[in-house]
Amino acid sequence: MLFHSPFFLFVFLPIVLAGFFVLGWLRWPAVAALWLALNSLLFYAWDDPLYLLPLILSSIVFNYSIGLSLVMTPRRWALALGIIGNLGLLGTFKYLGLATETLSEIGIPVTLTKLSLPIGISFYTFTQIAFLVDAYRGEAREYNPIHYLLFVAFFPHLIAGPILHHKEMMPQFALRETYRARWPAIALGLSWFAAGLFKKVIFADGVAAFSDPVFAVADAGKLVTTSAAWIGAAAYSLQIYFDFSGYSDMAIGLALMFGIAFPLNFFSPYKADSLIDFWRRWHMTLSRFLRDYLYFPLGGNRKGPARRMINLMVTMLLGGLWHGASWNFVAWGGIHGLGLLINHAWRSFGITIPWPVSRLVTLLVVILAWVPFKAATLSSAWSIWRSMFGVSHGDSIVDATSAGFWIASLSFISLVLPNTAQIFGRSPLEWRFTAWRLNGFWSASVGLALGAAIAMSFRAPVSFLYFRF
Amino acid sequence: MRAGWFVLLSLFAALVSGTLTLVAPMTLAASHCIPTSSKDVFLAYCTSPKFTDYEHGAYYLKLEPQAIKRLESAQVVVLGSSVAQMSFSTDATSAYFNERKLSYYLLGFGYNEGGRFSAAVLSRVPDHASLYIIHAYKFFGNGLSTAAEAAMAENATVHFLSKKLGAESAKWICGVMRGWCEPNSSSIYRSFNTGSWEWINTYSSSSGTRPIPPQRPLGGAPSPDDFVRAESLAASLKVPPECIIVTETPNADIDLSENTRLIAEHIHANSLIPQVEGLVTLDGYHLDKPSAERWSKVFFQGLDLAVSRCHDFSAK
Repeated sequence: MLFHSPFFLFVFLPIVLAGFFVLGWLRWPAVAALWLALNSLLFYAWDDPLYLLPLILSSIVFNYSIGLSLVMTPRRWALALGIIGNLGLLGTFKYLGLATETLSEIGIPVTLTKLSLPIGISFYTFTQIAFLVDAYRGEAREYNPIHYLLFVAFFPHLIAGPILHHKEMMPQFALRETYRARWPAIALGLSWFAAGLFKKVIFADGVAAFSDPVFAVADAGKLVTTSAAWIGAAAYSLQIYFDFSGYSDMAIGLALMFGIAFPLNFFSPYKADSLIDFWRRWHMTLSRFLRDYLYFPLGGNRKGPARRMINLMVTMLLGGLWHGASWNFVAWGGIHGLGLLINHAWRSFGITIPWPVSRLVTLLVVILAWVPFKAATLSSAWSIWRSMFGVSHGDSIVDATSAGFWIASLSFISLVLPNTAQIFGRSPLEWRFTAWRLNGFWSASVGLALGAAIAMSFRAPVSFLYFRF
Repeated sequence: MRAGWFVLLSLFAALVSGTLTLVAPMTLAASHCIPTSSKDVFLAYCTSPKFTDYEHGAYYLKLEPQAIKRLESAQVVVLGSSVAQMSFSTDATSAYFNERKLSYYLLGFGYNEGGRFSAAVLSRVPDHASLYIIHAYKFFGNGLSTAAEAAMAENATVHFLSKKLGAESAKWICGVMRGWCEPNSSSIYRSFNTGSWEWINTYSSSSGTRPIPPQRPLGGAPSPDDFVRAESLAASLKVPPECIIVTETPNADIDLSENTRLIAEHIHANSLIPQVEGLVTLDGYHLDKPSAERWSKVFFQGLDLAVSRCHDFSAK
């Protein structure tokens, strides 16, 4: 079910929201939590219940059981079993195809096996690995089964994050106030949701018209012109930002309507002055996960500069691979890993460069790295890169004037204007007049954005890019 | 401001903004469609680039309840493409059925639409007619037009609903503020009651009309696939084969009458292919208005026998 589908907006959300608060008003918080959890499972399994429901339920039961045992007695083997179980599930559904394909390509006779990827599996698997590690460390204490079910399945984050920490969610589910309708939270949640939907439907889907055709031509094995290649890469950089940050804003908004605060997932990543800074602003909950549950356990920076470099590169390569079973994602992670190594080395020299230059260089690396992320194959990514740097004799694919307008407008929004976290009061804001308030202006603005975005999405709903990860 | 009021005002603004987003572009597009003074019609098609086809969605998605009601209650239904619509949207047709107190409905579609789409529309209609007239031109092909695909797409309702509302609001606005509208796009209007077309500037060719020559090359025999599809379509109509009349209007390029007769014979239906001299087409295929009148008049002279042989209309 998509957040911007008519059924979700006009049937599912109003009914679930009303039921949740009626049950809360009746002072049945446990029933309200169960209602929300069951409806979240319904949301998840909507398109293919026979395939998706057993999968997520078995994953939840497995992790809850292991987690419970870890909370009572933290045993290393139990943690290992839990992590292996989760990675086994993820590996089977996500990486078996790539593994058998690669083995077959290098001459090892194996049967090509590719299972269809269950939606959201990467997100709920990582969420639960984090829970197991927290339980082992003694940082996860709450083990109410309904709350655990809700923690994993809560529909705003289930499909594409944010990746949540057990310890930041469970206390909220335990609060009685969560189950009472709070209009200020609903108003703020609606505003976040409207902003996210607008970013997705108007900005991301709009600029996709200039990235998709360029990459489609490259994927078909043809060359594109230099200008088309730059337009395609820049447009995709904006598309994926507005698509994923839009989704995250919608998730934050939906959770807020239910009285739950989610962590931020984006903070103007294209304003980053370095790649280190970029990863503090882009998909922040994944960065946090990779740092806390991969980079630190590998040793982080505690075992000398050489190990630090290796740990960083391994983390970024695996972070890339997490996005999908393709060497393209590994290449994307590798470029960022290499960039981070250079960034750290540069910092250690203590050389400072003016922020416009550092920001521009960072942005350039990020845009170049998005090319393999978007391209279907490494060879088409290579083709786009070659075109970007002058090897080009293809046809003009997109209208350069329209593309220029879109790219310039969205660049201004992402590079200059405050972000949604700043506007909605989750972070300090430099321009006071852009701060969200409970007043007529903001109410009308939220409504206008919401209505226009819903109407546009009804014409042809486009799925979120991160749904396939 | 209280938060509850904020939410309410936001939802109201969303309703207004959503409606405007959906309807305003189509209103603007429909304001370019040449209007008609006829009553009881809806805008079925217009060459205004953002509007184009509406009739496929109107019937498939049942967006025109009045038209659907008439279709459901029609005793005779005519199926075919735009060629059928042009050939039967005549005074001779209405006069024939009015005289016999029979209700009829023209369910042909533009874009050279074939029988697959007509069958899809009829499958959504509970009561079928007792007699079907099938205009065979391109009717037994397998394809769906782009307009049909758009109407049958997953999220088509909102798109076609915006066309309906856009056409209605443009009609109202252009009636109130004539100066605002620039009607320069050819249009086709469709009667709610009979499905007949009123076309304004459409199908006319810049090179002028094309008369139908007396001698034309014969069309090839129908393919085995044509026969299979004809069988399938005839079976879906749920009437005895003798209650299906297959016909064909002449065109300027090729003589398809034998082809049509063979298909009718294969499905045990009646064929009725009037031979009328001196007909003129707009573009080689669509009869001009006087020719359509002449042809349909001759056609209905031959229909009486088939009607009386077919069944008892009063059963409806």
